Amino acid sequence: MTATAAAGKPPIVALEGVSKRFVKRLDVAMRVANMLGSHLREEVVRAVDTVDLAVDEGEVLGLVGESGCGKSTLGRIVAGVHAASGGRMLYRGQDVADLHGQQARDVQLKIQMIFQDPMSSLNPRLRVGDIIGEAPRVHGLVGRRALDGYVDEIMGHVGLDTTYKRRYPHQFSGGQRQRIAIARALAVKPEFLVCDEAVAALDVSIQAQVLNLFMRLREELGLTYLFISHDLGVVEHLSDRVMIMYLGRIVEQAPTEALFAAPNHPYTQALLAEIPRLVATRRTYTPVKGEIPTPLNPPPGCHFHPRCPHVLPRCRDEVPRLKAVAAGHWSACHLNDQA
Amino acid sequence: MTTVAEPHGATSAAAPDDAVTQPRVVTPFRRFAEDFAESRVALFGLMLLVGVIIVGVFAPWIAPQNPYDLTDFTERDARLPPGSERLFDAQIFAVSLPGLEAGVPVSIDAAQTVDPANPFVDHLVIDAVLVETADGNEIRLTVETEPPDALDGLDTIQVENLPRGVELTVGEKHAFRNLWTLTRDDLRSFAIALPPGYDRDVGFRLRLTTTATDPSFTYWLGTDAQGRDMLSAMMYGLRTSLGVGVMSGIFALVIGMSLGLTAAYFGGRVETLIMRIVDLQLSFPAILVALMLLAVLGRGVDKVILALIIVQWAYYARTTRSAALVERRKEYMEAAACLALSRWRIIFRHLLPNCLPPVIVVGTVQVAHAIALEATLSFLGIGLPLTKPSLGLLISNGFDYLLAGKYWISVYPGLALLVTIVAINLVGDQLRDVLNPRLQR
Ligand SMILES: Nc1ncnc2c1ncn2[C@@H]1O[C@H](COP(=O)(O)OP(=O)(O)OP(=O)(O)O)[C@@H](O)[C@H]1O
Ligand code: SF4
Ligand SMILES: [Mg+2]
Repeated sequence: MTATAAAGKPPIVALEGVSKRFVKRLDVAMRVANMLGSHLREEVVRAVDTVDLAVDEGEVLGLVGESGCGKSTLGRIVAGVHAASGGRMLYRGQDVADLHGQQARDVQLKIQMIFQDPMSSLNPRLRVGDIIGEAPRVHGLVGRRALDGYVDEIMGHVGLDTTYKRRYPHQFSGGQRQRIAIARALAVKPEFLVCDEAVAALDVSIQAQVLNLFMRLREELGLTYLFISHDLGVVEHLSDRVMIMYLGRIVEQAPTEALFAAPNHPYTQALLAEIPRLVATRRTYTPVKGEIPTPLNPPPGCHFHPRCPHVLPRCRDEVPRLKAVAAGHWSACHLNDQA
Repeated sequence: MTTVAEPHGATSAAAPDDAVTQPRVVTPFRRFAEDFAESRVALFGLMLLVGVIIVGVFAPWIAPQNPYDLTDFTERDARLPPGSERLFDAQIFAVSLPGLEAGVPVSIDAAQTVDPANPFVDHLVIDAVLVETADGNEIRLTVETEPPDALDGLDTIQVENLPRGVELTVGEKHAFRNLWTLTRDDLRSFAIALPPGYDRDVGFRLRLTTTATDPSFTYWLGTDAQGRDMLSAMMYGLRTSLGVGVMSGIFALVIGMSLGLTAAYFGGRVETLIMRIVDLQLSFPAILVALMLLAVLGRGVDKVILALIIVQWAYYARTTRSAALVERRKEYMEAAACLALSRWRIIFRHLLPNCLPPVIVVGTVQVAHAIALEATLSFLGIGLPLTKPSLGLLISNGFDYLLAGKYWISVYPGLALLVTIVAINLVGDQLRDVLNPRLQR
């Protein structure tokens, strides 16, 4: 287990061996084609492959990886949007699969998600007041009469003008829309926010404002974050701990400073090498050399071996396991066994 | 408001800073209405459509005649060209001559059996006397009218319902009916011949019709083969056509949308099953399916509506599903799941309203389709019953007279149908443009 839980208190969210497969089934025409002798197979994407993680209360965990490596899928599993196809998810030590009814709902509300595109994450046919107020009203978190004041309070909290309550999402700017999405999440009093590239769609100047809002809310409300981003600079700035993901697997995980100072995994090293270290503003990594293999048909052994400069013979068929290389620093690479 | 010196004199009553404190709420509907109004053609179509709907809805109150009331029109008015005035109704007088004694004259004031709106004969006074002759008795009658010259305007004078065996001495007998037609001079003085030994009472009906027309009632669009006012028949027909189209559209929409949403939201086997049925349904021409259904079900408004629902729901289901598949992937659906909202709430409050625009477009086109289909079925004689003519049935009825030059019986209902369908399609086209996300500015 890679859990970094402080003794005694269970992490707020933990995943144990969680996988997610997307299966594209054969349709009738394909099955007929198979009967006639062709060899079409069901396509299985292992978007997330036996991932363990633990997030402590109040922590910001950054999640980094190339496009299509399964970051969003992992975030959705944590936020309860997708059910995992294997493994367990624990909320404060309790398996969420065991929860039912009221309890399951309460845990669901505790973990909210902020999406990349604030336009498509807001229902275009609802007024802002309804978008924010619907869930608390439906779940009885606030009374009917107190609802108006409650919505006002939350809008104030995220820096939205309360006079805009009767407007529709299309009448707002991108930054304001993201604030509405944040207000909607906060309205059900969550403890944990999954931010999936939450600022990637915004202008750089607006990005800073929204990031500051996240950090302010973290302090004011004691929130815990799973922060998914392309932007290594943002992740370095915000996170307490960073996880690097490659084709559905976690390849390295360490406290932010340790990871940026001494990356262990060749993939992480390649990622960081791509960053022009002098320019500290916007350090989006450019892809590592070589093609990203498709998750439909990942290479055996270490997924990274076709692109790895240090590849060993055993890398081609033996999956490296996450092992501690320093205190709290875990990496999945066969090179670490060599010493 | 505080008084602030205005640079250009105090002119504006509405302060501009109101706009800041009270932001104008651009509701989606308002935006939609503004976009819609951009096309003049579409506005024209909308006006036409509203007019057509008003005429259809209020037909019973605005139509000059009730075409379903068989006593309201007569066959005498049949196939009058547009602009003709209505002929006065026939006046019918019942004459009974009880207990006549030979040589004793009797004078009777004949009573009218139906009182027409425009009587042209106020009174009919008949003097009768029984005369015994060699070959049976004879009743001699002289008729006087009030006003005295009323008979001059008469077109035909007919005597009907004479007792069996009793004959008139003048006039022309109908080939097989108990009906004599008299001339004006005949009527002033004629005789009834009784067969030998006849001892029962004698009575008959006198039917007077006139060539004079009623200037207060004009058939602006002519009359049909039953003497119905075409304008009224078309208003009622429009009402029926619109009613059938809209009713079937609404039911098909509700059924199709529910199934389409179910398919898209739940996916898997449910989706496969529903969509296979949809594919099957759509692979047959609608008219063929409707024909077969009506052949089994028989005629009737309810049956036509049922048949139309069955041939239409699949369009709604397919459209709803494809819209819902797109919407379902949007992140607001995931956000709703995150907020632990119930399945029904997600489907009906979040998914459904966002699937509506394309369904509305399909709906308008489908209603036009339904109306055309119903007209086709009625034209073919298997749609609506004759007693409740729709536009299609009216066209069909007039079709026989088209080659005889009596175009108005078919052509005007045809035009009404055309206008209705064009209006709906104009509106539908603009709806498609306005609601199409790809054209959204
Ligand atoms: N609903 C789905 N059905 C089928 N395949 C999916 C689905 N969602 C994701 N995938 C596949 O799973 C893999 C991981 O996708 P995911 O969106 O998690 O990646 P990501 O790391 O978030 O990428 P990006 O940086 O582009 O957002 C991809 O190959 C994607 O095609
Ligand atoms: S396990 Fe082998 S291929 Fe994978 S990163 Fe380490 S050295 Fe490279
Ligand atoms: Mg993603």
